[in-house]
Amino acid sequence: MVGQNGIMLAVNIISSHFGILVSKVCECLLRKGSLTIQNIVRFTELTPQQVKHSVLVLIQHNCVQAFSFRSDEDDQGGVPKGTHYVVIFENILHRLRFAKFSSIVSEQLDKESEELLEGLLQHGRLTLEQIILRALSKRNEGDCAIQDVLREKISKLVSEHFVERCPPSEPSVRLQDGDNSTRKRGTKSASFVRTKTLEQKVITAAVSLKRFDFTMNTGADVISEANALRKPANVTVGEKRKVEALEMDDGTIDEKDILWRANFEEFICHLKQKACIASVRSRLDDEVGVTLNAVLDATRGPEKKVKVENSVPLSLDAIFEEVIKSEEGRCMTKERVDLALSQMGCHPTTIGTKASYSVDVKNIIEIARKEEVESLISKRYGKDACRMFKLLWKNGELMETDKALYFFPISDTAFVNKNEALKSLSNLGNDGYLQMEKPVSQGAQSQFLLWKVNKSSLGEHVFDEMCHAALNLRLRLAYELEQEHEILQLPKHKRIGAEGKRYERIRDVNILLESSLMKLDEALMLFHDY
Amino acid sequence: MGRQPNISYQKRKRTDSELTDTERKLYDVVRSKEDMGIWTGEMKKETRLQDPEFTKILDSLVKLKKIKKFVNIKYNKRKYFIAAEFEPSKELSGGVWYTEEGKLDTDLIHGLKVLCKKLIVRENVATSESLTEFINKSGVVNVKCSKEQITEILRCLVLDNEIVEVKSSEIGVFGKISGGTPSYRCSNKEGDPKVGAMASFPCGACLRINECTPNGVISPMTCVYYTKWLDF
Repeated sequence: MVGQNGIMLAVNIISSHFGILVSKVCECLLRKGSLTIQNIVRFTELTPQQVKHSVLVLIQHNCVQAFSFRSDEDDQGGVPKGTHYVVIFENILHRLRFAKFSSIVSEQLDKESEELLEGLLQHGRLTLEQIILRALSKRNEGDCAIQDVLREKISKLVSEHFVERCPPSEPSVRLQDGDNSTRKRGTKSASFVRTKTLEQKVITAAVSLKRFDFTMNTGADVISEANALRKPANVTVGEKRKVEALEMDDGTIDEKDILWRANFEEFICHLKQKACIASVRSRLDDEVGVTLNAVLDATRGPEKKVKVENSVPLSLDAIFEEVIKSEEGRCMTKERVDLALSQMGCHPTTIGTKASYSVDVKNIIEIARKEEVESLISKRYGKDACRMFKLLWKNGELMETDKALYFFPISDTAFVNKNEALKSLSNLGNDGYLQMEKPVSQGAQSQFLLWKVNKSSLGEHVFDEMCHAALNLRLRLAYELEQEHEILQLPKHKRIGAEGKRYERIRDVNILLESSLMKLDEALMLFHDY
Repeated sequence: MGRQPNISYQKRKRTDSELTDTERKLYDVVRSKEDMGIWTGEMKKETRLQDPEFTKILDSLVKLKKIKKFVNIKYNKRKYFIAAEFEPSKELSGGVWYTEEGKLDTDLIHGLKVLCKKLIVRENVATSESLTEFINKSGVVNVKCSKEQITEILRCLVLDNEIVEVKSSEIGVFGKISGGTPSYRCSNKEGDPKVGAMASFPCGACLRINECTPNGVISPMTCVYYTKWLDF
């Protein structure tokens, strides 16, 4: 579920990247759920042309997916016929992470592949021809050999799942009760929960089997072909689909019609692995980090999913073999790898005569989330409040404030003054970090209060607050840059004296706010994407 | 008959049965509350006695050691009394970790935490039994500690990331500890947890974040905490 602050952050991102009109349409879709063009026009009070163009921009940048409802009955129960549009919230937030995605490709492949990916990130979706032409425009050379090298690089990006084919332009989704958010809309947040489910359905329906299908067609010269007559622009949707269906008949892909885009899911997988390793490194030690990296590298199969709970069971020998592939792992012995696994709470399971190890990835993520929340609570409410929060998280059940009638008292276990305990717990409860219950006995409410950490609602609350904080960082940065607009425009030789100091200050402010936003974005992914 | 000479007047200690009716009335009220005690306002209400008579009777019962005063940690400004044969419940007195003044004994807690941590560092691994025995024998602390008290201190150290709780495997450093016994050893990365992403800038510490809006009275553009943070 995405809260109000999540929506505001997404709207701010779209507004700064594509302007106010597109952000209006985006906000309308975020708040109302899936809508037809007519309904967007009605809610935004923009002209149909403005809405159409804004939706096209959002589709081009993979922030909106078109779909149609498929119903077994002829009567669609009041659902407007035609194309509906649903906003993909995650893809909007991914726009904050483009630099991270590029650096992954740079690390895993090379600088040229990174440049090719940057083209896709910048333009949203491109045909193979467009990708190659864009890359060639940055070079002075453009012969067939270079084009083949570029095709090979794109092929590698696709085989590594960094790039995928764009989903079908309008997949159909089976209509079920509650899907029609325009028909039965409750509160804003409730409508968003329904839309979210629909959003997932649309994404699933849009996944193509040919997602990573790339058969190279070497030798074609895109420059000469681009200069030749192009296909008429007014090809109907039906005709275009037929072309897509026939394109593989000759074993090669159509470079002008098939659109490609960055596969965000793959990048999130990589970032999740990095986050897990960073978490165990800081909590345990470097050798545990090396071992986990080896286990996760060995786990990565053809089906790469972000929400993996456990690594694939591997023998100690297989893990060790993977560990020694890295420079850091080469100085480790098998015994130390075994110890590192046990430090992660990973103990062998014996099936037959073979013992295998499977790392609990979900637990590593949960610990990382807990550390982030603990740090926040310690800073905002103090160490005693943090200790009580840790106790409640660890206990996982309801606990009493200070009495021990039926439950274990929090204040005694956490060594917090009983009066202070109630005050701190109430603050944490009011701010959404704890859940409070007043037990009812024999029809009357009891005097004592019970507290617990509700991990799922806490995660949503923290994510929403982080979205608020991210929005604040972006707004402050924009404000600071606007205030010093003139100073930033000054040529280098004029940046002296007071102007020079102001220039240095705004440069430092920019660095600090940007780096804080990047760090916060990692925490956003921790709570929303992993 | 005249007064008998040479018989000096001696103050005789009154016994339970010799309490006056009003004293008995007040004493019974206090005694009926057992270990929960009662505060003076409630006593007056239940006995319908008024000052100054109430104060006089209360003083008299205290002098007779029939009742005693104690501090209720929740209402430390009220005067609470309890019958002499009872001890105030843990809920009211705060238990072993509270002083007679009704304050958390932070010195004792801190002292025991430091001591336990030092002993665990020295021994590599320890149990609550071994630590209790050592602390009581050494006489470092001037009160006798129970195993339960030391376990509570150890639990607090675990919450502070100073130590970790592990089950004895009877191998290596656990050689002398029977298998499965809860034991404690130092954590790899002790001390304060790393500063999280959110806690490293003003919004993470701000208690007014819920009132902060882009164009509101509290906004990121006018936020004083941000201004202070960005003051290079």
